[in-house]
Amino acid sequence: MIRTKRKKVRKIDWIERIGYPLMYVVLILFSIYSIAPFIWAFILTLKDYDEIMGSLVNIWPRHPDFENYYTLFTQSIYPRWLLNSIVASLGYTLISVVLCSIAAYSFAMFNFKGRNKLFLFMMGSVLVPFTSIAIPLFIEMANFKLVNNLWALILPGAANAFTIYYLILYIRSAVPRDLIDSARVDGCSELGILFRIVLPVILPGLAAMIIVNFVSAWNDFFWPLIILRTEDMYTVPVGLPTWNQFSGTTVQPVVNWQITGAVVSVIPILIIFAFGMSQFIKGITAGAVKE
Amino acid sequence: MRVDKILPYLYIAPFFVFFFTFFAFPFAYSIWLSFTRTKIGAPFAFVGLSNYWRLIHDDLFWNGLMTCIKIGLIQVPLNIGLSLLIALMLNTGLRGSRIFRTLIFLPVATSLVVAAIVWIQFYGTRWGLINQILRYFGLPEIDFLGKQIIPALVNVMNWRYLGWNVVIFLAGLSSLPTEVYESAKIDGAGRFRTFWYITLPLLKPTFAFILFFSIIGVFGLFAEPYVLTSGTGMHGQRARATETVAMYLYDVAFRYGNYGYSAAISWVLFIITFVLSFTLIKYVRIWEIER
Amino acid sequence: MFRESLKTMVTKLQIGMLATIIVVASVISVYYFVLPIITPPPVAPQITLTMWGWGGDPLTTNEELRDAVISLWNKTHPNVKIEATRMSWGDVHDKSMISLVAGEGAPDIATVEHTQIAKYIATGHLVDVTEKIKPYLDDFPKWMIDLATGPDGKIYGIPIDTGECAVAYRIDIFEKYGLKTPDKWESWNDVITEGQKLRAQNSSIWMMKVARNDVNWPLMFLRAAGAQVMERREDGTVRCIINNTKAVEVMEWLDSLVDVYDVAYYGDILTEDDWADLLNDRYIVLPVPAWLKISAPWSPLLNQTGKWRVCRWPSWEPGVPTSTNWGGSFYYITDQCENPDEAIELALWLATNATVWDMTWKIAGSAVFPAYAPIQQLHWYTDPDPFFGNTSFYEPIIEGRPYVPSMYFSEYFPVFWERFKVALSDIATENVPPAEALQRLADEVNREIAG
Repeated sequence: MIRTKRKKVRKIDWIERIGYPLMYVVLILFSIYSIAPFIWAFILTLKDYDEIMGSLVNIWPRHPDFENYYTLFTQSIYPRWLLNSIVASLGYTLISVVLCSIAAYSFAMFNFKGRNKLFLFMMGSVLVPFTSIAIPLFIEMANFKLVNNLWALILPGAANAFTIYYLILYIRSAVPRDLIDSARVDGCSELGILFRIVLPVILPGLAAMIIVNFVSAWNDFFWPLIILRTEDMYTVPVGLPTWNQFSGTTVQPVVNWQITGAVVSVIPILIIFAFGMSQFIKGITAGAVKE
Repeated sequence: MRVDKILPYLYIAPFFVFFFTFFAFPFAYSIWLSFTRTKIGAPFAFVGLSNYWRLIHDDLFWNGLMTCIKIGLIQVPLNIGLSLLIALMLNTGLRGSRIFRTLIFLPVATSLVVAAIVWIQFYGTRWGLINQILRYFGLPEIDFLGKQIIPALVNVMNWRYLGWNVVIFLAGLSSLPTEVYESAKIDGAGRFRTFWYITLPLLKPTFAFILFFSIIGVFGLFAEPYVLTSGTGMHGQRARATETVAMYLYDVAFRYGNYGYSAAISWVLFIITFVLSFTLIKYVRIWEIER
Repeated sequence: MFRESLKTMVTKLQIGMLATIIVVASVISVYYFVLPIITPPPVAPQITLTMWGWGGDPLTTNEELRDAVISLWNKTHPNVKIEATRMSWGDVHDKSMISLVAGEGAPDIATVEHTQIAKYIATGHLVDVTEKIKPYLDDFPKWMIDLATGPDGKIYGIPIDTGECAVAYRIDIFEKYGLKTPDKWESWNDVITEGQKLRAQNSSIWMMKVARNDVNWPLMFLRAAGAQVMERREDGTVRCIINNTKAVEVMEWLDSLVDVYDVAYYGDILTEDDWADLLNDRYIVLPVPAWLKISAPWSPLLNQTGKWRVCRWPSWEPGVPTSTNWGGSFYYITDQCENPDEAIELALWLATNATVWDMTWKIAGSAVFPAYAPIQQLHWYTDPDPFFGNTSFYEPIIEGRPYVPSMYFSEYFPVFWERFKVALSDIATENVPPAEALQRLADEVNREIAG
């Protein structure tokens, strides 16, 4: 017995001595790989325009300054794009979370006729690529007179299968059934149950969905690309790529603004991450873990 | 009591109103579209299956499908392998693993547009950072946005989704029951054996989840190759090697104005994705039951 | 006693307040309800015209110019307001098309590229401008009017500018290596002979860059050689004919510059890469359309002032003068416009009014090259330019105007455009032989036309 223990101890020591530092090195490498593009982009934003353009080999700017940020916010239309992104993302988040949580409560807590069929139907929507419904949806928006309107970004995606799926799982596991039954017996109204018992309990799950939905609305590209027409209605992801052309007529080439705008658009995400990273992760890992 | 019966339906009603208006109806409309000739500049006609007939003989479609499969065969195993590796490392409870996890996850939360803008600063032939460094050491330039577009694209996709899968794997790993591991240790199983025979099989649901969404993502691949190869303007080199089905769909619908045919493409794409992802899930599940 | 007087006082106060309220109310109601009825109505109704552009016209270039042009317009048309919106080139095209077809959301006036206008005419939603444009017809290039004419013979577009081409070259490098300058070339084949001389002396400079990211660039050469890419047959159907001998010859020639003679290299044009290349003397011959004024105030090449010259487009066949064109746009009026007469008038005014063009130069620092001939006499287009060694940038372009061949695009040009991009990348990056790539291109386009 003692002999085998000694052998085992030596083996573990060797693996641990090399293994752990090796893991650190690999992890550091991957972390650098993940954030290096942002760091380089940030360095680029500190350069002057002609340095970005004609540069051969110069890594560090000659005179690092925040002038690009200043001109971006005072001379370009970027602040308007930021505003549009914020309004669209917040509106989308609010409506989708409210809609989905009420419906999810019903799916999770009640056993009504057609529940399974509706559930399957809903989940099937995940498989449909957005490109399939983009044109009919666009025509619909035209009929509702919502083209080039931020409401067209808020309303269509609100019935979000991903959100409702997560909330169904969450409610089922987090809300104690017997508590609700006893509250009903005690004469509490349905609305009361909803607001006073269920809501406080699922708040963390809602927080996760709020964060996930906000981030996905913030980064959404394809649908806003189709539905937004005029420069003053663009959201940030739609507007930024339009800044990379030098059309040779009378357009100021603005690749420096493009990079600066890209860096700025990451900042709200960073802020959200600083506070709600774990919620975000909980939000997206539902379904990966066995119930 | 009557109210009781209606109540669940009341709760899900707003959700399904949105769902039907903004998803189900466009979906149905696009089915109908696929049986028509709805094309800008041509008279409207009901053409039955001729769009589908054309699709079967359309080598642009099949090339697009092949491209998706090729990119997927490289990207998906690479990503899953790397992210599993990183997740396992982070799971050992190293100090600072939270920081690593946050950094590696950061690219996920940024928009594709930002990712492309930022990576183009690395990939550019003259001014991109990588080529600048290569030139400094006298090495030949790499034509990332031209000849080497597939590695460049795979890299951007990998960079972006690494953190996503890491986080999902971590969630899966953290939900594994510890008793199994303890009994394995007592039985004298070594590190590798534990991993191969216990960890991997228990991660099946996580694998299934990731594979499922990876397949959907691969066949719906649009934004990354679109922004990297042609941006939203006239510039940028468009490569046959990265033409995916979704890009072809976008062209047919929004550039050629052939809505009927694009609806047919989107339907066939949907069916292929549906069949593939479900067979894969079933295959993985069967494997699991055997064990 | 006291109480009673108090009561009367209060009552008096109440009456007083009531009276004040009544008086004030009457005054207010007279002001708001009665007065408007008896004052005369406004003379003409207010009209608002909406316009979309991508920066190639005076109303969407920049805000200062837009405001100046609008106030000039309002001096003679005080009751017509203008709202101009600027978006990217791609967006103006995509979104106008979608809203034209959807029947809602389109602006009154929009701009469209000359290669794409056929597609818009084919929607049937453009307003006929034939009558109003008649007085100006002689001063617009015929090939532009042809492009704006629909199959029914009516004109649907008002030309704004053209992109007729010249060739700019680095005279200092030509002289340094003793090379024959393009203005003395007998044909484009001289690029090979002079290029080989150059490469023998300095292997880090090329004569030219062959674009692999922009379809317009090879189209310049195709057009100059007289090749066609699309045709409309007698029965009205359209076919892509890029696989014709002449076109294949041109593309093979371009490819040979890189693969056989090594006097040019494949690259991206009009990107940051490209400006970096030019700034670092990587190539010395630059085909320029009239709107690519490399001497404009914002040009990245300003510190090469004096080192460039411009000359006529060299012949394709020796002894046969030719020229070519890249770009040029039209105004069109949509059928969703409620005031088409005013809209047509505005578009014609923007295209032909000398003050507007003069203002564009003064305020924006540069302007496109006008389709309307009289504007070309403005001093902006004839002044010597120090960037080009005190010669005029536009002179060779104007000289070449009579020789610009006509090219037919058809409403399927966007299909051709997208697939040509891919064919270009096949030729340039995948080393597919041009004949094969063009054949495949023709097949793909014809399939889409038929489908």
